[in-house]
Amino acid sequence: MTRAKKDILKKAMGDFDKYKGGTNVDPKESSIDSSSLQVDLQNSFDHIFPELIKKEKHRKHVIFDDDVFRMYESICKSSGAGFSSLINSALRNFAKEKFNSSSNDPVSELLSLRNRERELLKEIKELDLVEELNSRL
Amino acid sequence: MTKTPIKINEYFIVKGDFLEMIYSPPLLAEVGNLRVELRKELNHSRPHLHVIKKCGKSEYGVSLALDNLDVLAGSENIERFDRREYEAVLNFIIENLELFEKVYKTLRGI
Repeated sequence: MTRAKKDILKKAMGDFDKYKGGTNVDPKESSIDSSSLQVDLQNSFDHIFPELIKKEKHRKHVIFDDDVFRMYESICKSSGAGFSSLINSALRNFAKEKFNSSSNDPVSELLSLRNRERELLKEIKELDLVEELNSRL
Repeated sequence: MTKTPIKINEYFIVKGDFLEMIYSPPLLAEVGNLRVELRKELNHSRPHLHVIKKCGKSEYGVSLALDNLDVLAGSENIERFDRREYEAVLNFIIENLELFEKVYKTLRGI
């Protein structure tokens, strides 16, 4: 243990004395073998530590535009929904909509073809084809 | 337009049995009726640890600052800890302070 760590321990044990540590111990609740306690705690931590430092296990912080945040916050208050669940739900719907509007979706593709067909018919009507034919004849 | 920083997840709840156990609350170690937790919230304005001793249906917790183990809260509960027990917990914490700081930074996304 380094000097600095020894100093921290000394100060912390000083706090233990200062706050009357050990004066109200229930013997039934202190059956743990204190000589092996540090080792047991270390083993417990060593088991958990690899999971704790996996960054992908932790959700990220994000920054919202103020107006967007206020809108969602107001919806959360009125509906009682959790902020993160509401955001997740909105993002899922957004992704779903994006997916449905892609060219892989046959219904969406048919709708866009029909729109294009209408636009073309409109353009044809606007052309004066009779005059064009007469000039060629 | 101003930006409002929002921390979506203050309590790192992660799905899955094992992970639930670890992250909610953020457990560092557990032996018998003693737990050491790392708290991400800044209710004491400093990163801190909770040392919790369960006695029957009651729990007695002490909040310790991560940098120098200052007692931030729960000083009245220190009397519930046996001296050797408390010292063993402190030794465990001191030996792992750098790793706890690393975990804290990961949890806060720093």
